[in-house]
Amino acid sequence: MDVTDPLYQRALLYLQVAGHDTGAQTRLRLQEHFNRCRADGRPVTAATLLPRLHQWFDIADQCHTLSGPRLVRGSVGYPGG
Amino acid sequence: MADQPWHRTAHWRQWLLAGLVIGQTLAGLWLLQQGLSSDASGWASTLLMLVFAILFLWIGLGFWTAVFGFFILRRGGDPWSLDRQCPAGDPAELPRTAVIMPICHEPVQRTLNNLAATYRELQQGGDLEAFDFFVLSDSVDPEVWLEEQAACADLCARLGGHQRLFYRRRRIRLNYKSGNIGDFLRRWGMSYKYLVVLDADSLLEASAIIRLVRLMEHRPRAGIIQTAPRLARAGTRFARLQQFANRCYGRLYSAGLAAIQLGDATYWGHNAILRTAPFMRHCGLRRLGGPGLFRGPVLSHDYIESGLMGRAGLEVWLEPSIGGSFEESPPTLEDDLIRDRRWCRGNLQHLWLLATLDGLRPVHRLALLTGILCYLASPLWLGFLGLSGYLGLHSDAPPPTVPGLVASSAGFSGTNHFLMAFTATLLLGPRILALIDQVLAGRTPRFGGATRLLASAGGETLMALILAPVRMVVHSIHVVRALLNMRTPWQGQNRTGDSRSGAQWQPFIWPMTTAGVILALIHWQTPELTPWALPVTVPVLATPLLARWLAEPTSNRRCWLVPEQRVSAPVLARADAGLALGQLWPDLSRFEQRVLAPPSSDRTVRSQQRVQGRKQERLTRLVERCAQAGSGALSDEEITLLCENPESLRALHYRVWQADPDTPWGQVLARLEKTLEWRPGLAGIREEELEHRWIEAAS
Repeated sequence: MDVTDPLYQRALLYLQVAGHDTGAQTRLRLQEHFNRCRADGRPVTAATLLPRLHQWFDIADQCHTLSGPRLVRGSVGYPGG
Repeated sequence: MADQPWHRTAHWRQWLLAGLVIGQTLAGLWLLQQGLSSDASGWASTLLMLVFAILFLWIGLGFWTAVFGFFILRRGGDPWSLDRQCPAGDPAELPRTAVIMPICHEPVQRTLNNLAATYRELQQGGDLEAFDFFVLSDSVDPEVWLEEQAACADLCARLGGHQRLFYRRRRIRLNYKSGNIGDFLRRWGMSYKYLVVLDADSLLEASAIIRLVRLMEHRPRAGIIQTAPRLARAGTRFARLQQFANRCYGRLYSAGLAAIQLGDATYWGHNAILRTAPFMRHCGLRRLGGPGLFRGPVLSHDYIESGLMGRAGLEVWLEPSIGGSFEESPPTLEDDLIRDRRWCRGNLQHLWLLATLDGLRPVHRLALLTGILCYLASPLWLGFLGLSGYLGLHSDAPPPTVPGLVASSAGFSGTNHFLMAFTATLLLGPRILALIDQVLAGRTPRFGGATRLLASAGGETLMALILAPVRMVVHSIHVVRALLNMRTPWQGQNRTGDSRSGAQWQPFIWPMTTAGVILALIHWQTPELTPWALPVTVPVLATPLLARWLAEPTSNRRCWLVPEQRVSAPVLARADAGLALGQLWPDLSRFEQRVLAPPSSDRTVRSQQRVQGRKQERLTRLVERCAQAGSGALSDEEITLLCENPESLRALHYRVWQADPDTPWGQVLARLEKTLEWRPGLAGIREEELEHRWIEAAS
């Protein structure tokens, strides 16, 4: 495929922004995905790029699952005048 | 409160102080009366005597407090202090304690690096288990609070502080800082036995925190223990002066204050530990219900909170012997005076509380009164000068040559000389005692040697004398503004000295005008009084030049040296070596960075914050507008609304990544691409930005 394709470049940028590795192996995988989609007659578009990237690559799962401290409701007393 | 053993000592010391101050004031009044010319009578001289009595009481209180401090320090410390009574090295397990840092538009990197330094110290000592850290933000500007969030997330990742370091931003900002802390207490206060309160410029060593907790455990009656923070990390001439004064003379004042107040001390709002349960039960602050200035939220909460704690039967201790507690000085004169404007208003509000709040302990009432006098003293001094000038004009005496007292005298007699010497002793005595104390304690090498210490003190005193009329005029204007209930903006403090250089004249226009008009009037009416007025008016007229000179950064290690500049405390060194936190793509705004970063995929958080109805419609419109026209099309409030709704942010994220190159977001993406090319090391945002999950949960 044409690696100067703007959608392909944007996909790489997104992966980079997401902290994903963008080395040769990732690029190869990405190109394969793009080629497969084209072959299936469902080429990648700007609208479908991000959902597909999230499908193809392990982006979301890298998120830490942390929660805030457990709420323990209390009240504050106000003194009279 | 049942009588405690320290009560008797405290009462004895307080009566002694009262006797000394009153006696000295009566002596001063007698000397003044002797010095007044025989024809100076009537309302003006009576008023002059009254104002003089208040001012002499006021400066006497400072002098005798320092004298108390001197003797306490010479005796090797106060045997009644908690620090002396509680044995060190208690191995018992530490109770749950929250370390909270309320912030509002502060320099994010510096502030969080301060917190990180404290965190790391506790971590290194193996004491972290008992502590949770909370950054409590009241910032409104989305560029600031988004940076706070990103920096906190970064810090959390770097420190491994998950479930230990939390960020919370209030959406509804009620009652300023005390409201922010109250909000925290309502949510999480019940989980912690103690609360360590830090300011944005606070630094506490782990040993100080542990010591505070141990003292609280040792003394169950203690509701608040306050440390005496040392000024540190001064970068400008002004801050260096303040820092030197604090380190050289401050120890006398704090030792004296602690000795006089004992368990009835006051809380200074930060670098202190609070017992959470009684603080929650007794120290909530209602909005004031009086007229004008006395309506609305309490601005200066700390003194009132210590008063309420005392009223509830708990003790408040000031423990200056606990080291490792630091804060920073405002970097410039202008910032110092801006802070004073807020404090002035807050302290004057205490008049209402003094009148309406019953059950306060007398020492706490006195503390409130001295806080008020800190600012009222300026207009009183101005009035005193005016009255003495008036009396000088209406007497047959020759024109005076020195401002103040002798302007109203019948000549420069022996009693006038004595009164002047007396006044000078009260004003300069604490400085001299502090120098003697430093010499006797063998601490002069820490200040660069005896000669350098003396030179530094001389320079600092000279500058303090020059700045005194400036403060007098500016504080008088603050008092008038407060009493007229003119609005005082509540904003973050400039703590670094940046971004002020262009506006040196603006805040001094009123003081300069006032001084100029006074000088012109005096010269017009009685030219012979002009030399008398010059020492007061010239410094005020020269304020912009002074302020500019004082605002300049200095690395001069010969003058105004303090011990921390020779051997830096580890916590200060850690804070100074702080890292750039949450810095991703500097060419993009924080909002653009937030939109472009992959959003959280955690559906539980998103579903918790799902919105419907009109709000959802508004959010949809905002997403559409922002996607079309870029981030510049939204106001700060709209950006905040979007960022607080993960679903909308997610929708926008998907939209902007589809943007064509010639659209606003396409250009942002082009900038991002360039940034990543130029700064490949910053491309990996996984650790930093994906931490937003916990931020969203806590927000």
